[in-house]
Amino acid sequence: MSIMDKFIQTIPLLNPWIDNWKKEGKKVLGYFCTYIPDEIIHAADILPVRIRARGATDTPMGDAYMTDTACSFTRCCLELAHRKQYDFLDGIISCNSCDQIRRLYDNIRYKTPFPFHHLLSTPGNVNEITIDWFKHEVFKFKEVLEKNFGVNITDEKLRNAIKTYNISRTLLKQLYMLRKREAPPITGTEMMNVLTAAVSIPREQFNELLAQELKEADGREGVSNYKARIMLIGSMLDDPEYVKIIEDLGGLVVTDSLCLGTRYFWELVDETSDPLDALAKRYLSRVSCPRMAGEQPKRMEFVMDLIKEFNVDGVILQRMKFCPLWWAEIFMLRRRLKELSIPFLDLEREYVLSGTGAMKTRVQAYMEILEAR
Amino acid sequence: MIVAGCDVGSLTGKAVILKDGSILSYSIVPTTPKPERTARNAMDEALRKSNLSMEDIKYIVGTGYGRVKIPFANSEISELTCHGKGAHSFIPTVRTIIDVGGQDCKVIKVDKNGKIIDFAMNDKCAAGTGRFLEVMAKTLELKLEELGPISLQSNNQAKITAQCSVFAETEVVSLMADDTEVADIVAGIHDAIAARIMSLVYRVGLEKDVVISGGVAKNIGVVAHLEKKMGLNTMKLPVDPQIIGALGAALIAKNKLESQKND
Repeated sequence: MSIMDKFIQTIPLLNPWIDNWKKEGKKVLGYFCTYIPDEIIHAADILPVRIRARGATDTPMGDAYMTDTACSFTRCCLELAHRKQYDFLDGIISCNSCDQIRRLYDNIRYKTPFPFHHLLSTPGNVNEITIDWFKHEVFKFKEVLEKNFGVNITDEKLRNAIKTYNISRTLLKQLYMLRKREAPPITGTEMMNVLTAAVSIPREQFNELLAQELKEADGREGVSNYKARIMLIGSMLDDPEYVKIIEDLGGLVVTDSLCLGTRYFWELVDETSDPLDALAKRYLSRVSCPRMAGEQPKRMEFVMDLIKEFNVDGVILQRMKFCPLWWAEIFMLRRRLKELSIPFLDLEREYVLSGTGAMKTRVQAYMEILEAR
Repeated sequence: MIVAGCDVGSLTGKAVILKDGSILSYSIVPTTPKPERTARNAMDEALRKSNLSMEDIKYIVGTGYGRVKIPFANSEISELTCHGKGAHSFIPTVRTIIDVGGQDCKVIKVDKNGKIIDFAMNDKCAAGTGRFLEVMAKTLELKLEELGPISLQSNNQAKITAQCSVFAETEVVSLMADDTEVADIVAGIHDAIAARIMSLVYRVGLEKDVVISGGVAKNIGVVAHLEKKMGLNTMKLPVDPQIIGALGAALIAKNKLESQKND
């Protein structure tokens, strides 16, 4: 089995690693979203798993409890919760990322509760006061975990967790750096598998696989028969098939700003200061998601830097239908990209991939635009 | 040099045969459940009209919804690029192309060379498409071709508020029950379709000159409503607007054949 095959094995919700973990009598906590400091959960010897909704098809329960004008990701998650697909989780941790996630969390607590829930209150902007506030929330979170699971989360355990997670961040960044090459040795589709594995299996084991993949990728010849180098930007995307559609039409995805992508791992946690403080600071002030008010210029700069660094020919913006945060973000991104004459394609999607004919027409037309430049 | 373009759409299939850049013949056939069959029907009809056989055609470009399923196409190009190319070939000053087809509508922005630089599509619902008009014609017991002229006879346009064509049909039925003038209802329908199309125009940005292509371009009511909303006159195509996609494909076929020869 190749390393990529192993990464692909992590895509179903209950993968073999989680299965083994549970057989050892250990706990698993599912979370939304990138503002939750994984390391604290890891330091409690609990496996943190990002909640995804792979396997969801239709959402009758999700629609009924959340209305059919809620984003399809949250409706799919609620549907899977109803269908007992998250029963391997010992609890759910959420933050108030957006209204849809908040309603999802409420619905789970109301209709499909778990043995443990926690809402990590996350401030809506980033400054000294809110970072201080978030430090208190993070401290409270640690205490709640300790009390509920009868564990002692020492500073040493936290420091070790931070080290382990920083290793992932460093390795992931190194893997991304290889994609700067004219012939990137890993496609966006393959990268999606790696990113999914990062948030779905025990971190030490992920690091081992990642280190191997990095070594092999470095020596690979790479992909050179593509039409354009693409940066993919948007919200919760964990479907390699979506990326494959773009890449099959000649748009090689060389970098991104995605929930599971650069926005998840780009910045390291400071290993020299108090661990909880360092975690709070890093998680709140890292390159943000559109929920953060006042941070759009920084997000825009981050995107611009990546476009330059990775020699991007065109940007594909994807947003889930009914997501107000990303409507606004994409509106601002489009305006700026237009000013700078950087070509972009604006795609609306649902969490479950369908209507691929429509997507293919748009992507193909976009490739024809890029080819003509 | 004889080339062809074949556009397999959702309601009709079209083929255009070009000889040295001029239209030799073209066809418009109804779509069948199999794109391969639609494509063949369209090509056969166009070949028959120009007394040619498939062997005479040196390069064929496929386009449209069924473009990947055209077995005799040498390559396939998106219908957006093809409509851009086709419209520009007749009207080089065109910058905005509004293509209203059977089941989709799109707005295409081209540069001075006819190359597309931006586009917006609606292919997720019937609002703003030929299908909407078909449904309405049936509800009002009128022929599709009658709708346009009748819409221009209205003095007191009815307001159709529903976003969805299915619910719009319900609205029309109630208007009919209220004895609203048929011309007013039809005008309201045309206004609704134009409004839907305009939202795509705004997304891409309106720039003169404007050309309307696709089957619905033959409806003078839709054209009139769109021109009124845009505050300008659109440039009229000298050929059947429904074949513009296939024509663009044929022109691209000509370019591809020429560059093959130069290689």
